[in-house]
Amino acid sequence: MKLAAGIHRARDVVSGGATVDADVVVVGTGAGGSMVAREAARAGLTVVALEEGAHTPTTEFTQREDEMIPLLFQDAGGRTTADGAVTLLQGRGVGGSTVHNTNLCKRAPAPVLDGWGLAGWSAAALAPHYEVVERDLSVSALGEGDLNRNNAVLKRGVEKLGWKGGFLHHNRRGCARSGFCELGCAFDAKENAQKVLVPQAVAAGAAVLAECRATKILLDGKRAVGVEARLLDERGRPGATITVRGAVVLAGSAVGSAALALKSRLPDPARAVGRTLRIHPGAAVAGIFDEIIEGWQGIPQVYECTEKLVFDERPDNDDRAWIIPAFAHPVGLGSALPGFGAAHMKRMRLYPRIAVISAMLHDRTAGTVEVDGERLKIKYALEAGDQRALLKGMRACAELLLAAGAKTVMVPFVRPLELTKASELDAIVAHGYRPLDPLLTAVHPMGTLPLGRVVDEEGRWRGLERLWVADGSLFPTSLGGPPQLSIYAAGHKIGGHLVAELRRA
Amino acid sequence: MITRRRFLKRTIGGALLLGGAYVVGRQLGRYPVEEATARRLTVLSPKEYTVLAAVARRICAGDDAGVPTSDDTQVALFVDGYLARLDDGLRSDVKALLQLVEHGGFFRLRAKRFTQMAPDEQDAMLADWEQSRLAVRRQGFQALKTMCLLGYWRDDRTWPMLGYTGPMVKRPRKS
Repeated sequence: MKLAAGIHRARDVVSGGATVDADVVVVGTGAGGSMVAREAARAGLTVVALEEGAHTPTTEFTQREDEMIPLLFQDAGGRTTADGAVTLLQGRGVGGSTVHNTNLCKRAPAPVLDGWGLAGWSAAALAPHYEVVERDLSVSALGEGDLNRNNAVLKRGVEKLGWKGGFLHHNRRGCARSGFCELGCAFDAKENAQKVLVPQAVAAGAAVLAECRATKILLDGKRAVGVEARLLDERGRPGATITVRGAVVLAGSAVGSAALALKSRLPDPARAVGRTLRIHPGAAVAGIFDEIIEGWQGIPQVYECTEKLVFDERPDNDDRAWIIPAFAHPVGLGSALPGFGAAHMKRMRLYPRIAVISAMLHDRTAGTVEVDGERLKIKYALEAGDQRALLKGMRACAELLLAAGAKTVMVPFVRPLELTKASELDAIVAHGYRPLDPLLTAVHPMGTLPLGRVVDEEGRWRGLERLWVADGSLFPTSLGGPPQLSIYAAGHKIGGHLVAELRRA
Repeated sequence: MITRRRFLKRTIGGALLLGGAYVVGRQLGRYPVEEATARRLTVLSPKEYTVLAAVARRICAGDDAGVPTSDDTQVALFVDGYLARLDDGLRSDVKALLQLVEHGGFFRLRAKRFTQMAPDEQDAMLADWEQSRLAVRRQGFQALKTMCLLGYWRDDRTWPMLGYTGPMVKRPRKS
């Protein structure tokens, strides 16, 4: 059967046992998947995109943590590494992680891209793809007038210390500055996959099947011929099976795509599938000020500090922290602050006067994605060099907060460190790291199906025909900055390769 | 946020504790829950609900007599609904964790179940888990803490004490 263009809840339009025919099946509708779907549909190919999560119009977004976190995130926001040390926030739903991200748009640094040594992936070679994305998603620079007080604290610290910093770029139009970006934009101001690319793909004829979980890539010899998928019920439970036939694009994130590849037992001669997971783990540090901060108001991330972010791959380079504001709503902050009970509540009462910034690591640790029956296992044990770099980054966060005027800096170890002067900063590094102490959060999974090893430079699975990868899985290293622009750009590049090849066939 | 049962099982101590907690948990006592509440439970058993409610009272204990309690905000009932959105494996993890909390003292030669302890004893046990040298205990504590805080700070009545102004849009609740 053929599907009409549109965004459909899968169980409303197909029944168990159905076979849907298309030229291209895209698994995932985040940055990479939506871009490939648009490019393929605009080239005249019939496209079906599968999305595990729901399609929720932004008019239904409520800005409430208890409702939006379970709706927009994998495992209802509860996804962690196997040891619980890192909370991994990944999107679920039409638009993927572009629905909840904070709209940061930054090209991958030239030293990182050029360091890969891959044909077609240098900074210069990717520039035309970045330009298309920046144009289509209305990317623009933020400025002084966009700073909320939490961002202003970071900027003030950078200026006091004479460190490197600057304004970020974003993809927003009509922003109401409500401060709820990470719970989805209730004002539909994000120029993201959900608002821009999926509708453009649909306008060009694509069909999206939401609430439909891909379970297996179907092969005929060395040729990918489609995807087996399960229809999900209203509580997300898998039901009947359908088949969607066509060339296949994996774009379900570095976790989801690797897991699907493993379940499908795709050929892996390099033994690299799921083995080099990078996540940009981040640790937050809080400063308590006399002044009112109210960091939940306004654009969450406007300014960055790059003083401790050096793109030098030598083993002794511990300056690998990208420092950005990291304010959270009450549940998020409460979970990050140590302790419980009355002592915890006393800390929470400081909420309006707390500023939070985070050290996000340009990591080298190679985590893994594994599947055990139906269960997903994400393993990630921070290697020694990354532990040093993380602690050094946290020290820098504390130094910035003190320079900006914090009366006390709270470092959220299990036994929290409270610092009031610069001479105490070395206590952070001296404390050391152990899992869950401090808690880490990661939002940028990458690297599980790396270019050059699992896929070729055109994104094609090595040793198979008609199977491409178009998400953060591709990146052979971490990027050291927000990956969404690079994933969109990769989707644009690979979409072009796919269209050219399928037209030739 | 959610503990991993299979992680527990990978450690000898974890396997013993988890298996033992199940066995002990099946053998011991009843946990009466008001009928109206029991009818609303979708994932947790009355016993698991009772243990979780006891944990929530300590995690969300106020610093002032006037603040909303975890019972006022129905934290345990909220978590039951939250768990309904997780897959079977994660739900099983949480249920096993609650058994471990309730009967974990048994394995450390403590006579009392968690729900029978005085509040200061419960606090001591939770602090022991939070600061434990065993990562699996710290993981279990964090999972419980995060779920309880989600249930507590979601409630509009808790926001005034933070000065938090809440959502800018006023839309009907989704559930």
